[in-house]
Amino acid sequence: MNILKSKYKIIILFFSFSIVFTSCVKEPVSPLISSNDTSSKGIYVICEGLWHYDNSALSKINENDGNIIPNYFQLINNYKLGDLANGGIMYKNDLYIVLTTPAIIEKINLLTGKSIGRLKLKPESDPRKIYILNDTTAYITNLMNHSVSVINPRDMIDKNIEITVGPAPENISGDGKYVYVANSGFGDYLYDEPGAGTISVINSANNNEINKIPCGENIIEVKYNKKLNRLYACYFHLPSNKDSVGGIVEYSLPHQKEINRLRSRANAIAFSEDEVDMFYNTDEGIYRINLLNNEFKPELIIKNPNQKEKWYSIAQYGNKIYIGNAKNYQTKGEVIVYSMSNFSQPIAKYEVGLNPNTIIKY
Amino acid sequence: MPNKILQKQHVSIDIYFLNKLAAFAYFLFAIFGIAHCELSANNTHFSKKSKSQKDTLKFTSPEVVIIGNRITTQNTISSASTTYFSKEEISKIPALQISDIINKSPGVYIKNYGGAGGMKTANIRGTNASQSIILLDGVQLNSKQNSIYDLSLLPLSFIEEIEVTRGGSSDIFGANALGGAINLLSPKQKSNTYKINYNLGSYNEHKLSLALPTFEVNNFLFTLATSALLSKGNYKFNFDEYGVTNELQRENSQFDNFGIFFNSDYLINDVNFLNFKTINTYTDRGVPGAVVQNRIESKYATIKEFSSFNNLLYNLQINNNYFVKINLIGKYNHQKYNDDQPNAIETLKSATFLNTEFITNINNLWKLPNFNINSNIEYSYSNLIGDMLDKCVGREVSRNNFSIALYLDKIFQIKSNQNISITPSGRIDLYSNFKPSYSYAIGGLYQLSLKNKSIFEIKGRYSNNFRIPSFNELYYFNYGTSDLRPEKSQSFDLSTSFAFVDIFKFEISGFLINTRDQIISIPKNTISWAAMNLGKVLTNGIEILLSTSAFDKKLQTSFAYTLQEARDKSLESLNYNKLIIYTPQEILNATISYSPIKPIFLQLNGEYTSHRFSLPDNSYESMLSNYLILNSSIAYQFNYNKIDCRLQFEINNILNNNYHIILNYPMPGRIFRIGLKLEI
Repeated sequence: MNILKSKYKIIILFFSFSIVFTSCVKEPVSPLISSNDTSSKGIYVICEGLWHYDNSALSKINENDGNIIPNYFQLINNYKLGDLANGGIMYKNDLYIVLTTPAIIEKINLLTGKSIGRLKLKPESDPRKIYILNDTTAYITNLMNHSVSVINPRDMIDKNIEITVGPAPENISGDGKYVYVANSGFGDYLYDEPGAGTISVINSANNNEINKIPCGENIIEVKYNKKLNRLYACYFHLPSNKDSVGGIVEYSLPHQKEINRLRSRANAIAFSEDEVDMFYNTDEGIYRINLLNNEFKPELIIKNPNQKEKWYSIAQYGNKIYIGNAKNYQTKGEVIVYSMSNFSQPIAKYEVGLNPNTIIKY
Repeated sequence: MPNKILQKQHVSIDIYFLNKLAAFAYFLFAIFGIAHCELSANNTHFSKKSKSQKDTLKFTSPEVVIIGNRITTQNTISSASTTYFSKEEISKIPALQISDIINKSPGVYIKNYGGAGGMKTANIRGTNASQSIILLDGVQLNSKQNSIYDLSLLPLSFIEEIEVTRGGSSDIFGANALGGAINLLSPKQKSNTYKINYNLGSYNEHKLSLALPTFEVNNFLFTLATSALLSKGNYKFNFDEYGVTNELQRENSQFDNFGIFFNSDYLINDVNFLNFKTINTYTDRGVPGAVVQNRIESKYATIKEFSSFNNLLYNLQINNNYFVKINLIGKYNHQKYNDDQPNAIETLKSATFLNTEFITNINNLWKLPNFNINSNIEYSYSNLIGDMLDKCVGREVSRNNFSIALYLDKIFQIKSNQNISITPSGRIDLYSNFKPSYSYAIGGLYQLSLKNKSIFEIKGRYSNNFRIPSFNELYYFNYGTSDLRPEKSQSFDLSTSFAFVDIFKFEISGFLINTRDQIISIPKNTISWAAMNLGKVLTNGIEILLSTSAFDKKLQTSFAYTLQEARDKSLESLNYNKLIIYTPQEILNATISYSPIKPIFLQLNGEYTSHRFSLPDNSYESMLSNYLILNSSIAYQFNYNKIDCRLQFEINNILNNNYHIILNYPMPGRIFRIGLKLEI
C-alpha cells in the first residue's frame, strides 16, 4: 500500500512538474537592432503596415554603407508609429506622417529621428494624405468625413477648418494657390455619389471649393507638376468591374482642361527630379512617359520579374529610381534600387517594413 | 478620446442588469407558467417515484453507431482519435461556455476574440475554424455563409456530452471535416428534478439556467430548459500607447444571450419513437474591434442574431439487427449587423443576413455478428439572403447537396479478449454548383481487453477529405471569388492508448494532414482582401492525453498536450515553409482536482499556449507571445431540505495576465465568479 502511495506521489509530482515545465517550443527573441548610424542623411521609407495590426513603420536606409533600420521610428522614440501610415511628406527638416486609423499626424525631426509633435485630429476621421502649402498651412484629406482639414504644421495645431469635398478623398496636391483633391468614392461603396471620381479644386486663399474636375471612377492619386504647370491624376477601376482598367489623366493649368488620357492599371505615379518624366507603376513593371512629348506615350523601362510581388511606390532621386515592393502585402517589404542608366538589373535591395508607400531622400 | 481610463470595477447588480433580468424573468414566466400547469396535471406520476429514482435514467434509443448526420455514441469512428466529455465530467468543469470544455481536449485550439461575447471558434489539429465541423446531435452547425460556427452562441446548459473526433472525417461528417469534428450532444436522459443554476461574475456577468423535469402525458415525454447569459464585458486590460502603459476598459463588448431548449418524444412502442427537438437562441452583442494606439475600432457595432434549430426524428427498429432513422431538420439564422458610428459610410452601417437550411436524411444500420453496415442518404438545401453579396448574384444565393455514404465495421475476434476492427468507408457528395466530391477512409483498431474493459489499443486511419467554399468566399462583395475550387486534404492518424483500471489512462496520437487548394484571404491591397485557392498546407504533430485518479478518486488529474506544426507548403509562396498564422505549436491544458473531504472539491487548471504569428512572414513584429493562464475553483456540495445544492467559487486568470489570442483583441484579466446550482 505504501508503495502504491509512493507511485501516486510520483504521478502527482510528474504532473505538477509537467504543468510548469513542458514547453519545448522556444519563443523567438527580439532581433538586435542598434543604430550606429549617426548620420541623418539617407532614404526614409514610410511603411504603411496592415490595417488593425498597429504595425506602420519608418525605415531608414543608409546607402553609403547599406545599413538598414527597418523600424527606425520605434528605435529612436521607444513606441510604435501606429496603424496605417497612409501618407507622408518632407517639409524642410521635418517629416509629417499621416496615420489613418488613430487620426494622428506625427511630426518627426529628420536630424534626430525624434517625434517633435503629434496632432490628434477629429476621432474616426480617417486622415489619408497631406499637402503642405507653407509653414503655417497644411491640408489633410479625411477619407470618412469627405472633407479636408486645415492645420498649422509648424505648431501642430488644428485650425478647425473643414472643407467639404467629394466622397472619400484620398490624395492631395497643390500648386501654391490651389489645392487639388482626389475624390475616390471609396471604390464601389460611394461611386454613384455626387462628386465621386472628380478632383476638387480648393482656393487656398479662402479655403473654398471652387470646382470639381471630372476624372474617373475610384481616383486615388493627384500630383502637380510645377515645371510644366500641369496636373496628373491616376484612377483605378471599380473592384466590382473586374474587367475594367483605370488610367492616367493629364490636365493643363490654370484652365483645368484635360489634355491627355491613358488607359492603364497604374497604381502609383512619380516625377523625375527635373519633372520632365513621369513614372508609373503597374503589375508589369515601371513605365516612363516623357512629358515634353505631346504623344503621352508610355515606355516600359523596368519589368517586374515576379508579377506576384506587388510594386507599391516609386521615387526618383539623382540617377536612381527607387521602387517600394510590397510583395504580397503581408510580408516585409523591400526597396529595390535601379540605376537610371541601366534598368536591366537592380543595383541594390533593402528590406524594410510592411507595405512601403512613400520613399523620401533626405 | 475613445478609450476611457478604467473606473474601479464593481460586481454589482445595476440598472443594466435589472432591465435584462426583468426581460428574462418575463420570458421565463411565460414559459414556466405554462409548463407548471402541465406539471401539476401530472403530479401523480412523479409522486410515485421514490428517492432512488431521482437519478436520471437513460431513456432513448439503443446505443448504435449511426453515420452521416446522426451520431449518437461516443465511439463514432472506432479507428479515429477521439476525446469524450461525459455529463459527469462536464458538470465538474467550471465553465461559462462550451469552448471552456472543448479546449481541454488535445489537438483543439480555441480562437477567442475576448470576453463572454467574443467570437470563439474551434481549430482542430492546426487547421482553421472552417476546416473543423461543429455538430449538434450529429447535425452540422457550421454556417453555409462563412463555414464556421461561433461556440459562444449555444448555451452550455443545453449540452450534456461532447465528442471530439480528431483527424479528417469527411467520409462520415461530409464537407469541412478536414481537421476533425466536435459533436455536441443535447440531453437525452429523462430527468426528475428541477435544475436551477445561477452564476454571478465580474464585469456584470450573470448566467441563469433552468431545466424542468421531464413530464409525461400518455406516451409523450417533454423536456424544457432555458438559459440566459448576460455580460457587460467591460473588462480592464493594459495597453501600450506612445510608450506609456495605460489601463483601459473594453467598450462595446456587452453580450446578451438567451436560449430555450424543448425536446419531446412520442413512444410508439418499446423501441420505436418519434422525437422533436428545437433549440432557439437570441443573441444581442457588441462587436468591438481591434485596439490600436489612440483608437478602438467598432465602438458602436452590434450584431443581433436569432438562430433556430429544429429536428424531427423517426427512430425505427425493424428487427434486432436492422435500425432506421429518418430525420427532417430545419435551421434558421437571422443576423443583423448595425454600426451607428457617425462617420461610417451609409452602406457599411448595417447589413442583414438570413441563412436557412433544410436537411433530410435516412440512416440504415445493419448489425450482424462482428459486422456492422451503416449507410446514409441525405439531401440538403441551403439559402442565403443578404446585403453585401456580389452584384452579379443579387441578394440571394443557394445550394443543393445530395450525398450517399457507406461505413463498414468488420470485427475479427482473435481471442476472447483481443479483437481487430477494420473500418472502410466512402461518401459521395453532389452539389448544385460544384463538381462531385468523393471522400473515403480506411481505419483499423487493435484492442486488448481485461474484464470487458479496453486496456490497450492501437488504431490508425487514413482519410480523404474536402471542404466546399462558403457563400462568403464565393460571393461576398469585393471579397468573394466565384470560381474557387473545394479544398482537398489527406489525413493520417495513428494512436495508441493504455489504461489501467480507472486510475491511469495514457494516450498518444500522431497525425499528418496534407491540404491542397486551401482557400486563403489574400490582400488585393493593404485594406481589401480576396478569397483565393492558393495554399498547400502541411500539418503534423503529436497529442498526449494523460489522466490519473487516486485515493478513491479524491485526487484526479488530466493533462492534454499538443505539439504541432502547420506550415505553408505552397511552392510559389513567398512564405514557403513558414508557420500558418494563429496556429500555436504547443498547447497544454492540465487540471488537478482534489477533494479532501467529500463535500468539498478543489480544482486548479493551467492553460499554456506557445507563441503564434499574426502574419504569414513570421516576422518577430507579428508574433504574439506565449501565455500561461491559471484558473481555480472550489465547490461545496450539500443537501438542504432535500435539495441538492452546489456552491462554487472560481477565479479565472489568477495571475491577471495580459494576453491576446487574436492580435489587438485583448483578453480579460482576472475574473471572479460565484455560482449556485440547485436540484429540486
